[in-house]
Amino acid sequence: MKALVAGIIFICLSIVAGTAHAHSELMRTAPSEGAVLASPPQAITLTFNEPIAPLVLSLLGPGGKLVPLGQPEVHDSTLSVPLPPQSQRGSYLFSWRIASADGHPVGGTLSFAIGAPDSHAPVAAPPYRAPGLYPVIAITAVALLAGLLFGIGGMAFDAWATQYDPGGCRKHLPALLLAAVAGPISLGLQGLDALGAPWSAIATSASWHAAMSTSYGLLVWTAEAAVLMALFACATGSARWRRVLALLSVLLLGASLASSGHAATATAGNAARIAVFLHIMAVVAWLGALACLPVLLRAGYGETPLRRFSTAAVGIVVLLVATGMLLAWWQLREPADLWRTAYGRILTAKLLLVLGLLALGAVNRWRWTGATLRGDMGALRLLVRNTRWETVLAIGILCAVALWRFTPPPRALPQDMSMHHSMSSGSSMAMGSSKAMESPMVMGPSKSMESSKTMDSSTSKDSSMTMSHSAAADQTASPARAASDRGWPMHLHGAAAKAEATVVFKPNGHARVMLTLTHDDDTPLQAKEVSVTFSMERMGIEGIVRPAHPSGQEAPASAWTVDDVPLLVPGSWTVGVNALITDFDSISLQGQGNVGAENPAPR
Amino acid sequence: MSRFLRRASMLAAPGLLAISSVAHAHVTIETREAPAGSYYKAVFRVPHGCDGSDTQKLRIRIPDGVIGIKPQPKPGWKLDIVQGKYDKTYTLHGARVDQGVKELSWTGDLPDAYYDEFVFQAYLADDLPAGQPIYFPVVQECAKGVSRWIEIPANNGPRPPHPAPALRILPAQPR
Repeated sequence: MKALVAGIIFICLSIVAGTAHAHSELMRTAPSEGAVLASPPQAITLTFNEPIAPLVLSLLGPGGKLVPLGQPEVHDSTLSVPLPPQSQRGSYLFSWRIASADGHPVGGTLSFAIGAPDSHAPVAAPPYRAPGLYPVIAITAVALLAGLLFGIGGMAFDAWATQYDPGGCRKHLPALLLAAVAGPISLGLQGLDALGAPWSAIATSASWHAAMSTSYGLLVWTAEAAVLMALFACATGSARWRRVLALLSVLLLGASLASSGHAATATAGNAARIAVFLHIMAVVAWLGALACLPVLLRAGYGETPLRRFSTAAVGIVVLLVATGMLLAWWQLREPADLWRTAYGRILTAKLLLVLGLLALGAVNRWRWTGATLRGDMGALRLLVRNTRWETVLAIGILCAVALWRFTPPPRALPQDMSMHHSMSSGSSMAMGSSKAMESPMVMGPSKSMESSKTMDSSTSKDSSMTMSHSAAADQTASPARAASDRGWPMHLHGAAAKAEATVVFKPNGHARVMLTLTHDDDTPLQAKEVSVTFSMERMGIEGIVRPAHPSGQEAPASAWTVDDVPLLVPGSWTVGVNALITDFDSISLQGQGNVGAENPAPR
Repeated sequence: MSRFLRRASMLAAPGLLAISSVAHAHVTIETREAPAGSYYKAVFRVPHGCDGSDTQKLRIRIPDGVIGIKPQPKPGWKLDIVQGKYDKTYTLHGARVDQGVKELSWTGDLPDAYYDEFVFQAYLADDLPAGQPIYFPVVQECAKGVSRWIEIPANNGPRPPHPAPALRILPAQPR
């Protein structure tokens, strides 16, 4: 904290002084890059060419676990970070980000090993998971979804479909409060899962940072904003304002649940997000009615709302089913996926529940609504009872949706660059799954890094209530294949050039990367020098830079290899390639892809 | 918190550039805008070597549309000129020229602790599109290593880490 304040003051001073300072450059590190140390170092020291201020520092240990660091100290241009005694042997990645005197942040990653580098590929060891974490995540997810959909939906229904009643909206407060509480909790759990940290890490800021850096963080923030708006809607005294605020909160909720989808291809991606948004709108309308109608009918005020809802019900169902089918058509590769994959099986269960819901809804609509509106009390009782059953089914559907988060996500085959796969993640509320892919899309700086055909490892979860969004395409990949001989493909794009990269894990946990550079028309692109940068924003891994050498003949060549990259952590990595074409021309390519994780569901 | 500061400092950096117009470790040109159809004195500023080692050679590639290059010799530096064909025929001093200087280089030694400037005079062709930048990629060869200031930003993309010095062309002034 002090260091951060020092950084700010430093930057301000340099503005005032108007001095001509330069981008800081790293001169020396201790331990040196790639060193294998016999015993753990007391501290990590970075020496720059000028005074600096540290911004973010993080250390990943063997298996990608976060290692706590001591307070950094800066003496002139040397940054020293004490290391608590480490008993773990294996590879470490120290990521640092410092502020130069000119304000430009400079970052990098230092890799070293204690004892010996990891003796196995990262995927072989199952990632640490805090005991009981998954059930808690599932319960929190259902609570959050239920709270959001019933609470905000109910508030909107009250505002728009009923006569204004100042206290009437209070029945939704428990649901809204449930959502307000479940949101931050799920965020913390998400961080724990992302880092593979034990329960005690919930108190550290690292896990919260990890969660916030994913699009899930944005989802929770926006959803909480929607909850706040719904609370304001209840508190306001004016009918018109209640309507406005309720509508705004519904729109915010739709945006939040639709935004976290990560449709990889730009063209279909936005369409998928719009489809999800509309789907959520229909869901909110329906669940909102379910939340309100029983109470209103019993109290005797239900006639007008019931009539209004009945009029709109057909439209709502049509929208729900249409968007659902569209999303399913984009996601599913073949109907057989429905029973062949765990993901598909959950989808089938959800579809069955939805069919039940639609059946109940139809019965209500066509059999009992008319009678109730005519004043038949028996019909009213039956209607209310059916509505309660609808609610039960709806909660069951939300549970199915929450379970999706844990099933192996759809994974395309290495040879298969299908669009479907990348679509699968498109439609959803990535509840609890942190994907670095989402961060570039949502958060700003690395926006240019979206590769249009990326392999996405994410679990896509669907908050909608109907058939849809799984791409269970991955099941054809045999999980029994050894991780060490499986190549993880990545596609990179730049201005007028592209590259295909394959990442292969070596037994020691490090990776070898093979690259092929081509022009856009697929003719080979010769380069004189190539360097590759791997980073993973959500784990705070700044950038592991390695030079490549030509795979076969001498430079200039179009096939390049990087022999050793210490990718300690499986997951979604961002790759940058800088290729020197002539002395004065270079091109830069970016891409993102999943590397190394067989079952990246938690990530 | 630190993430916000990181973002804030990244946003602040271009602001700092504007406010204090500092010279970075980057090789830059002094006058960043000039009208087409005029003489232009290009001053390349070299504030640093590569990673602390001395600069021993500076090579500049001349973009299309910049003609009539006359470099300024520097005491202690050897000046080399590479001629080449232009992309098309231009008119200079009433004469039609279709070839000229395409690359300049100065070879010598500039310690990292010192600053120096490398100058040439050029004529910016009349038909250079106004409002667009043209780029002078620079290769800085040092005692240890090479720094290449050759990256051209994508349309509306972020400023690359090793940008080629850019000159923005203004509309031709009436005579």
